[in-house]
Amino acid sequence: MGNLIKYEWRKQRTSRLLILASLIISIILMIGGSISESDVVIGFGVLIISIAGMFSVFYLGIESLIVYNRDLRTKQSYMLFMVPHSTWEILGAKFISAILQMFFAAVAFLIGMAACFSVIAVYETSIGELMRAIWEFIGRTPEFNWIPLLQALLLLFIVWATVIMTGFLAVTLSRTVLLKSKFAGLISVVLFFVISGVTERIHIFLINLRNVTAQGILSQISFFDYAFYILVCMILFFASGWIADRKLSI
Amino acid sequence: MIAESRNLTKVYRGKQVVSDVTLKLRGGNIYGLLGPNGCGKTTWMKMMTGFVKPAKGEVIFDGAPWTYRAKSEIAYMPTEAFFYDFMKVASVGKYYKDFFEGFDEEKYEELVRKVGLDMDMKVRDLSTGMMAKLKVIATMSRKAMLYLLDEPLNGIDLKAREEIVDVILMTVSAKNVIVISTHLIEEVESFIDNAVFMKDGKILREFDTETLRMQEGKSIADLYRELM
Repeated sequence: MGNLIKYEWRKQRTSRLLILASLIISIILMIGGSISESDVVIGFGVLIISIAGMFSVFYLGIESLIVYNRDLRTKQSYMLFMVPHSTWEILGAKFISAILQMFFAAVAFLIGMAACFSVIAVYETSIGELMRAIWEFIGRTPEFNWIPLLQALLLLFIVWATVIMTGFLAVTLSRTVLLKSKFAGLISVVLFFVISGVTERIHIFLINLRNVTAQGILSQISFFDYAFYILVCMILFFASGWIADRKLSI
Repeated sequence: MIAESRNLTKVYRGKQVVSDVTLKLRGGNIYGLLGPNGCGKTTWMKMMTGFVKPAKGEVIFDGAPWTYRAKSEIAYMPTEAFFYDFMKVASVGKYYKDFFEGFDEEKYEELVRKVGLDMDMKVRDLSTGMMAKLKVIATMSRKAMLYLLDEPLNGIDLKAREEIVDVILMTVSAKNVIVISTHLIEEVESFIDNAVFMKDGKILREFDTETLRMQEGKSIADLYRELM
């Protein structure tokens, strides 16, 4: 299993290197701009790290779907499926690798941002002053709590992982039961949105059962929300594995 | 007996591309799976490897029904280039070593040198002939009971063919069996022990090549022309 994950990880190395490069460039811009007291340069750094940070997590997830589709569609599928592992292990390695890579990007950018914004705040620039003001505001506000913010980020990550798992199921369907259909691609895209929509409907239905208001959802992310999406992830994995194990021919 | 195909059948879009194929593969032999393009050779091999699910029938490997664990003892070489684009010749060997117990790294490196490849070559830059050699070398450096080589001599020059045949002959032993699918009858006639003729998804006839020569006084090529 470790080897399977290693090679899955390798398949997206170029993207990870680009993401790391953008992170390093933005850090250099922010630190360089702080030392040279140039707000424009710092601004560029902040812009790059914000955009790259936001999109890299989403992109790595989508790219894992592109890689999965390519692995099933091209002759490289032999490389993946000739190894003495079950379909479950092969798909499991893909899922784990996709989640690890998204996690890698999220953590890399969070650490990079926190470090850079702390450095910026030390220097006498306009953005530095702004950063100090923000830190001071946070420090002066006793009710400011990092926990809900981190909880929201974690939930966002798990929800995105669920979306990616839905994508895996859609790709699996398009390469198995829908293979003979002319519209396999279109049907799998429609299925992707249907499954995502149904998941959200069920989530809202269960929240209503628990009698939580919309505002309550935002302020109190509960164990239920994590559990719900993790359970959906597991169901999607078992559905993909079950179908692939019985129907997948390469 | 190392492996057996029992009534294997595959249907694509309502057409039987492999039809009721029963074949027993005995250790120490090289089998030639002979037939024109599209006669079901590749699909049969893929069913033996587990890549394609049969509509009917079963594969018996080492005395038991096929499970994914059999893949550790079945070395399949597809006819197409299948290595990952990001790989070099060296990393192909590393991949095989990572996944296949008994992969002979020394044999791999020796054969790579012998056929004029370089460990630092990128697989996406290899010519058709070079790729054909690399596929055979990687597959035959595995320690397996069943080797399935799909058209290993396609599209490559005479010298490379000789090198590939040498590698195949070096590997065969009483503990394994090699199946070579091809439509290039003359190229394999001299070294295969059994000839299996396939047409329209069915096995027409199966011969021990020595018996064929001795009793019927015919070459495999002669018989191929008669049957096809």
